[in-house]
Amino acid sequence: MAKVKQPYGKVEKRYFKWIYLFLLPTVVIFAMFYVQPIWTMLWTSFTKWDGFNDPTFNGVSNYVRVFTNSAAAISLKNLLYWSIIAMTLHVGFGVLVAFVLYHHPKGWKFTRAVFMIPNVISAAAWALIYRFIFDDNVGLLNGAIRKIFPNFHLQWFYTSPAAFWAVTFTWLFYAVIVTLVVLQDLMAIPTELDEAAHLDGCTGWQMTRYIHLPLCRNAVGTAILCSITSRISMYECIALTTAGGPGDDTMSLSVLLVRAITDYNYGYANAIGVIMFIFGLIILAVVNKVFRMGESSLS
Amino acid sequence: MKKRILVCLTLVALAASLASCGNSSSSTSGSDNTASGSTDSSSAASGEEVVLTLPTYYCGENVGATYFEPAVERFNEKYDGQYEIQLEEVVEASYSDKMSTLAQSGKLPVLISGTTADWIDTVLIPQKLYYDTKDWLNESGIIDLCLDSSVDYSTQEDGSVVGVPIVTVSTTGLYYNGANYSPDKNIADMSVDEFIESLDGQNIAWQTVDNAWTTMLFLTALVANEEGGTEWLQEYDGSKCYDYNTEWMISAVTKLVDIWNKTGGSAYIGKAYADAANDFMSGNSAVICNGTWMNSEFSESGSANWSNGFDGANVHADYYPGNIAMCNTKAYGRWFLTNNYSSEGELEAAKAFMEFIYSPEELEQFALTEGCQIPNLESSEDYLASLDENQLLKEQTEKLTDETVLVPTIASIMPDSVANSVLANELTQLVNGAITPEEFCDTLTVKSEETKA
Amino acid sequence: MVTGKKDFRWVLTRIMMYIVMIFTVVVSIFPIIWVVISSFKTNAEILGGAFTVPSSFSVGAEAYRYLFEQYNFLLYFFNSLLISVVSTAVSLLFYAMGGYVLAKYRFPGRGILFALFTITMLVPGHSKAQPIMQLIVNFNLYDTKTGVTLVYLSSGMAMSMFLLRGTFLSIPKELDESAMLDGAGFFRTFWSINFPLAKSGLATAGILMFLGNWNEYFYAALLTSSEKNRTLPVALQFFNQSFSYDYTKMFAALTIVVLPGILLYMCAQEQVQQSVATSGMKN
Repeated sequence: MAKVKQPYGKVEKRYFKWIYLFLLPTVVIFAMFYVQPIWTMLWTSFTKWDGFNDPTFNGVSNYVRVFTNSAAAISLKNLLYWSIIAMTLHVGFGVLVAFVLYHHPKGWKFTRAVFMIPNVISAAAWALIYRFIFDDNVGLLNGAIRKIFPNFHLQWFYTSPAAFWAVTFTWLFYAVIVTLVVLQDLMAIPTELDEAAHLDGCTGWQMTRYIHLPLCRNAVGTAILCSITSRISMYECIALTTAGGPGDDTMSLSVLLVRAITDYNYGYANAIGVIMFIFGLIILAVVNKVFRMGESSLS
Repeated sequence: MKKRILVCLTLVALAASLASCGNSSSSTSGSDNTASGSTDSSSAASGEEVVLTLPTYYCGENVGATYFEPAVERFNEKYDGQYEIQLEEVVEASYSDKMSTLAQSGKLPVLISGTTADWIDTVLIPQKLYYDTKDWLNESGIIDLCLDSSVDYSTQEDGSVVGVPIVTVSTTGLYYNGANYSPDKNIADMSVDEFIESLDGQNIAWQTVDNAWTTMLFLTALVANEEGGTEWLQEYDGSKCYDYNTEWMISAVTKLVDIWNKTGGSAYIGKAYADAANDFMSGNSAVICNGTWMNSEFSESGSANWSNGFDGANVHADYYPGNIAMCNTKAYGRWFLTNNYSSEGELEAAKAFMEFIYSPEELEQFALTEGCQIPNLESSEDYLASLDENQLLKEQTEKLTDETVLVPTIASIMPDSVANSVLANELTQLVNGAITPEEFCDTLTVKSEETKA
Repeated sequence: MVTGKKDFRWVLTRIMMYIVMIFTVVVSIFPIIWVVISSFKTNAEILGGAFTVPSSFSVGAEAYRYLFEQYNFLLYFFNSLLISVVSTAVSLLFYAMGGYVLAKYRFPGRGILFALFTITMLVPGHSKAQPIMQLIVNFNLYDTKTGVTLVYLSSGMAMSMFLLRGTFLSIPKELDESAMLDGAGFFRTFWSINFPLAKSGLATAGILMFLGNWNEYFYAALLTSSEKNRTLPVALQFFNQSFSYDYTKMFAALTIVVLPGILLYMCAQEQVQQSVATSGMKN
């Protein structure tokens, strides 16, 4: 991938002032709402800080605490598993729906619109809904299972290892962002391309596999990135269902972070924040490399 | 295209306005009833009036609104033309954060209520943002009503006093449904074993989700019944304990598991507060451990939540076996004055409001509504008369004797994050049989240690 | 001219497509229906069994009557609408400009700026809250709609950058070049050539940001206090407090808050769809 950097041409240089003018608003927003928070998070992660009074420097001891904490170890393990599930099943489902919708079957508009609804319902209500889905006595899931296995009893959210899967199911199928992003890329494919492929004798499946899928590489990359980063920051669907339990089974870094804030340990909380941030950076770099994002998929 | 969007937006707006217009005649008058909806039109009329805006969550849907909203109205009526309190409804969950930010930018309101002790210790005291209430408490005579232990707790090293120390105490006990359980003597006079035996297999409304509130209360009672448990709880009243590997803890937890299994426990895994309350109010369980604010749920006004032939009139209040009741006496009070007042008038208004709230009539009104005791106030005839109509509060008052042992709840001596979620998570493991009582206590100890900064 | 084998595969594919679609619709639409039905049940009915039919209509009617009497939902609705529309429109324009130059031009700092914009999605929300509140209070924008709008401008930055840059990347560069040869300036090339062609990407980014802002309650609750600046999701929070649990009212409030959002979105979706279709034809 090593490209020789070409010097900027005369025409290119002429546009610089426009380019920076165009970037200015975004840069201003970035400076206002992100520079300060990121900076505060970084430097206070090396301090003992109650979030209000002056912080006192305490070196890397917050980080040592995170890495010697058994709950944090479980969180990292969970994050890894959840990332893999997000990358494969979650994104896979979203892409599948996108491809189905792309072929405009009857009712595709309705499906696309309705798929958005779960994102609009508040987390507190979701928590209640999930509790009813996974409840042992009156729950939908166990009711269905008991139709086949009459003696089946399982408290999904409250026994290990079922809790991990119950939490996973709270987000697994809600992949509307993936679908929208991919669908948008699919729609941008010039119709001439499809026609040409059709004339060459491509069947529908072949077209999907060899033409459409590679062409939405960028979108799939974006989708994977977004779904993994939302696993890193995932908070409410854990906090409102299992709160990390039973024991520390479904613990996540974000839940630990909020717990630290509850105890006014902002330095420690921000150290956890920095670790989440770094994990995200790694994912960002890897996905960018693998999906060669930023290059037009048409070229 | 723009036109279409415009049409579309107008349609939605129209639909929304129609939906609310159906009730609009009442909606204008209704919003005046909720104090948050009041506007400053009345204050504009008389220039002299001091208007105090009070951000609080004791209004609207909150349990605290039942007493507080009418009380503010009474105050505004009494001081009409002089002072006016305007309530601003704040979301409970963001109250402390909001106050922190306002404090950092010097915009703290002069009156605060509803933050945590941690917040007071972290923000209000170190930054010296509080108004020293010492002299005013003495002048107004409110100090005579305050609990000595709370006055001590609120007094700083330099002798200044933070806020108004505790005047009303709510002693947490339990409720039982007389329709399916009638003990032959007061539960408070029984031992734990006697109590469980008398229950005869009836359910207790347990809770294992969120902060496991009702279960935590019963665990506290069990600990207090252990040798050394009461002293331990009382010793840590007003502070945090980081060691739960003690004999009394392990023994109490072991008993909890046993009792859990005898009282229908397995059906209560994954139950939240609302489930436990609903379970009791549908007659499914005979006992629920809960604070006195639940009294109002059993009066006729709460009957919408009853089901299965449950009748609030059958409910009785009692304290825990071994004559244990829960109450934090080493704590800050309910209200705090800050030194961030824009004018003397504002401070005077805040003081006047406090003096009003802590006047004997208002205190008794408060006690009747929220179900609590006022240790340092001689009860008035009116109060005793209304007490007769309020069976539950009457029982709570009468059963609270000199022999009743007051302990803080075990949650209050745990670090906040442990009390809020670790306890419930580990409790689930415990009753599932995934961990032993020893491991349970050990985990609580480890997790508490981890919260130390 | 379809052979039997091909026909069979075609049918099979269709069936599978509809299975996926039906599944998607069911998992998506079931929660909202459940919420609406629950708003007509009593607490005991809601907690007793999840899939029972409400016993009487009057419970729900009473809850809705109470809500409209106690709360000025119309006002909250317009606040929400104003704040989300303005913040979405403005940020969409800003991010489109940013995404456009990042996609189509080479300039010093391009890589680093794009990296900086994308890492914004990695900052944990809870770590961000305090400095942002401080900023808004320092600007004297506490308890104003402007303050909330300003904060919402920053939401969805990374997501929109990804989407919009991708969209502009897929618009052929030749179009710009020919436009510039025709004498169009930098701004006109963006506004008249690229912007209209990026409609579908703009729509996707816009919808995602709009719904995000419509539902946001954390900052709205922190940054406003008076009723005149309250948004719908903030009002919803009042029904979700410790030790007070009136699920009937909570679900009724949720219905009032969520339904307009869904209606707006469906309406907008239809509009966007048509405009994308027409712009495609021009292309």
